[in-house]
Amino acid sequence: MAVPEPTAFLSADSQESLALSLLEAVTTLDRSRLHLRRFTLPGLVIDAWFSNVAYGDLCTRNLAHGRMPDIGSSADLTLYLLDSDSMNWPQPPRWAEKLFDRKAANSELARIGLKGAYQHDPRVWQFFSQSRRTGVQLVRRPGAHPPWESGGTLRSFLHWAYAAQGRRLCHCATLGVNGKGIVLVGAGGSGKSGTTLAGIANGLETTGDDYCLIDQSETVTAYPLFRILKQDAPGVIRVLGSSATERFGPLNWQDKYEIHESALPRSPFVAELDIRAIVVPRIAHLARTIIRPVSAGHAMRSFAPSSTFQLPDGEVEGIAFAGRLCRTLPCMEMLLSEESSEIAATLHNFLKHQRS
Amino acid sequence: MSIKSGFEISSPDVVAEDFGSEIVVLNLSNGKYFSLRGVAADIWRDLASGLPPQILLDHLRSLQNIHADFVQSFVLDLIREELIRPSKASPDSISPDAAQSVVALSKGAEAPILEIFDDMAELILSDPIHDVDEDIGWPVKRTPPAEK
Repeated sequence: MAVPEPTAFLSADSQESLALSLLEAVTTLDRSRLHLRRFTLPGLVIDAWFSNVAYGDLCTRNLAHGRMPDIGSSADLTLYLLDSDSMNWPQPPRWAEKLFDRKAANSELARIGLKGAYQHDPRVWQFFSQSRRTGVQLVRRPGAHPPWESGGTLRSFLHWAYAAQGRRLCHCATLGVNGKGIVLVGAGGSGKSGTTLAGIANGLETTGDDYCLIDQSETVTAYPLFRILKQDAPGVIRVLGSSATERFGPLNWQDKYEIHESALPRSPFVAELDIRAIVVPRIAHLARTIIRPVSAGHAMRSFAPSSTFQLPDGEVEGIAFAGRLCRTLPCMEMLLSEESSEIAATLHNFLKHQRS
Repeated sequence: MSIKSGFEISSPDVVAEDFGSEIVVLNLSNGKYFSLRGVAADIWRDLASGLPPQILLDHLRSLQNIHADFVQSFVLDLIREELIRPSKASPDSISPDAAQSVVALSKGAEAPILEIFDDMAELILSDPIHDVDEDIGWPVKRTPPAEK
């Protein structure tokens, strides 16, 4: 196949040949050497072909299942998750410049109707064609993924596929009761994950604590995409006790446990939550948690930047999406106590009084 | 830079969402974001609608009890942060009498402030290829070769 020359370096205007050659190459692949997995996510069925079976198993374990598709139905999207070593292909090229210019790269790909992303290390190329309903990822060797991949597997492809549906991956957490919930927004370290863990430890539901799918049509609905929660050791010990850490495996690159739903006494994940408010958590060490209104602008500042800059493109659409959400929903601030059961009870009471 | 011409929002790198009492502005090129409240939001709307800053300032200086220097400083902050740029189009200007900021300042509004948030900037700019270990990955830096 016409894959790039070894040791090649690419720039914004030469990456399209890599994108097109990869998208063409996957149409004639010998699939008998690949491993097929089907992911049935909310409103999106993906057939994914992996060159590395362990990566396929990781995605199968960590992605949400969603609703089952009809038997015999075709997939909405086909992905090829490939590595050069397994495929006997030349190593993927490097980006030629010191900094990856994602604006220039996105602009060049957009000219030919493609989306793409590149991560310098460990040299991950991703391309997506909505018209072909196909995505390709190429890495150097089996397992050569960035350390954050396990917490948000296939995130760029999910972002592109859902954006085409008018829905968004959002950097947020959710908590709910009986299908009614709130979105928790804020930058890393703002208390989203800690609040989520406090909530689920005391019986609340969630669709995720880092990335959720948000749909805003007549109502606002959150869906789960991953079956993983993240929390550092002090947070786990504070909410679940010191013995809980033994169940959660090693710490990840952020010194956080990646807590799979199967490691919890009951799965806190629900198929969807009807979202009634945006809540900005704040670690305040109060005796009792306080939930009080804040301006839509305050919520927007807590929500849009982190959601926008952690995804490979679509910034303008993402900001407009966040703006609509902040105008539509009541915006609140939650000043947290240190007692997880009290935090959960306060949220439970708050949700009980939201209008149906 | 002359502020006699009309100015426009530096799109597509700069995106603004207007919530009435506050405008949130994001600069996609560097990850900074900004909050404009009160008369700061009024000035943004006036400039975005084509009112040249110099005409606004001249008008404010003709009025009593208004500190136009604060407004000038604010406009220069917007330019320095590359949130607005001179417009090539001839200004289709509103009258300064009708400008929201003039009305607000005449009623005693406080001086405009550009609140700047840069906690996301590192995320935008931290994408080096030459100082990270490709096998371990960001944020682990590659061990530099020993000096001979």
